[in-house]
Amino acid sequence: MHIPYGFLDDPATLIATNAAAATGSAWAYRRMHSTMNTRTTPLLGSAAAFIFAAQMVNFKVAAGTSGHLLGGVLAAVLLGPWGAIVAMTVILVVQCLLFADGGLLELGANVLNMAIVGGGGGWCVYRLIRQAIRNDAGILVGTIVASWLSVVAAAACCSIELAAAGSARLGPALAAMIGVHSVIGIGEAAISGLIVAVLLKSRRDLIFGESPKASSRRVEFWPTLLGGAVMAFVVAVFLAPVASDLPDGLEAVAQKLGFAEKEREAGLLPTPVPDYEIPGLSSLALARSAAGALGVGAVAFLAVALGRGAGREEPDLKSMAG
Amino acid sequence: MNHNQTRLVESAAGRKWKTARLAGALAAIAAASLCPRTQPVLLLAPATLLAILAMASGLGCRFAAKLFAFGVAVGIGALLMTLSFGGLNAEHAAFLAGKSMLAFGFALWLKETMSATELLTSLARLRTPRMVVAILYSTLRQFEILGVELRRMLRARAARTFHRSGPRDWPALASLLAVLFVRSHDRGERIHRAMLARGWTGDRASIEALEPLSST
Repeated sequence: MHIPYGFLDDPATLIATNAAAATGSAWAYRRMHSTMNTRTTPLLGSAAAFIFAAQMVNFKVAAGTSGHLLGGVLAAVLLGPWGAIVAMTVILVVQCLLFADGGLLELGANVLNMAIVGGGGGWCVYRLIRQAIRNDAGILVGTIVASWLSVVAAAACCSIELAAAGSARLGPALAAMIGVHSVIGIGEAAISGLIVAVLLKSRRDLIFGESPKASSRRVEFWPTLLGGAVMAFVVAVFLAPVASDLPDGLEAVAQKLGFAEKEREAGLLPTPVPDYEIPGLSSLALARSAAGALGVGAVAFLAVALGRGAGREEPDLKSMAG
Repeated sequence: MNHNQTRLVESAAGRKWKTARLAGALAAIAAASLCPRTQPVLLLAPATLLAILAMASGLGCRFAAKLFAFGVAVGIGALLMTLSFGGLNAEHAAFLAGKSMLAFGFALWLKETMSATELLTSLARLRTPRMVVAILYSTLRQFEILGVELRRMLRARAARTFHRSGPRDWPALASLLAVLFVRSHDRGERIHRAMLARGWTGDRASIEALEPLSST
């Protein structure tokens, strides 16, 4: 998802994304400064380095496509929202300067997508679910759902930025990016969820805002999960077609205003990403909704499967860690 | 004594030169990235500069090969974007790929000619906030620890004959990752305490006094 050097080919977009990212990460840095100082920062480094390393693990998504961990929500669960934004920004700076991954002027856009939307936005979703489900299952379900949503949201932001810079058309870009990343997001959700599940058992104190005391009774789990799943389905089913119909509206406006000639040239190759649609469904909107719903369903399944295991007593992993 | 002083003076001059190099490379990346699409000829200037710099620094075939590999990857990316995202035509895609390759070339030149520690001290000299530099250093330091711990754990895993890889092994792999985090975090904490005991304050002097990183 890293936007490479030179791909945001528009000064206005560059200024806007860099200003937004600088403001956001400076704010997070200030907020974090109240709890951390120069002497304690090395502790932040261990989480940042870990997510950096975990991002190098590639997993196969579909034929020919592979994804890697984004880690925004994992950072948020470990460090809290402000620490997560700072750590993710640091990771992106290191990748840009030392590994030449992701552009320098595009750093603003990448920070916006992966640190602020992926980490900060992911935290909001995690926190909501965490407060709704008040036992360990809440931490896990929150991590899983927030991970998936953060990847999809970051992908949507990425395509909006590319479209704003004129490197892509909004409709196809959104459809392709959200389509691929709703699958990548399942991997993200699985990895983050499994890591947090292990941490819950062995090093509970490393999770942000969790006291080391034992977990409470399992209450309100199923009703909350059901409610959350229904909401997520509704969002996926209704938002996906709206998102893909939006550019048609834009094109109509473009044609009315008479600057659609460039668009027509590009329109000769209207190739939607084949992975994204479920074959056999004739309507495009229906297929998109179905693909979205499938993604949400898979995430809900993961949440249930891991959440159920959270209450169970299992051998301590400290022996493994030692 | 005299010898020591000479070394200090030399290294101060060297540091200034490295800071200038970092600032110059960042400016060149920005300039290449901002080249307008209507004037692709302008890209020839940074291209010539990059070629001269690479030759002057003694970077040979490996540098060219890396640059070429990136160019191919980014070209394929631009082509895919043209096909599936619309908005780009072939000419625009080629321009973007060329520009991207040039900016990458400067970043690669920086990476090949400066160590991570030099880069960090230069960043500190360019008035990057102290805490950011301190976090960057500890991230890179911790990255080395992760590598060491990971190698140990993979050796242990291989010794226990876990060779399979499939969906059924994901929980095992994830717990490997989680245990890796716990272990490296513990070790990072110990290192941090040792750093504090030896007078770590996170300012530039204490960063410059640190041992060089070996990861990059």
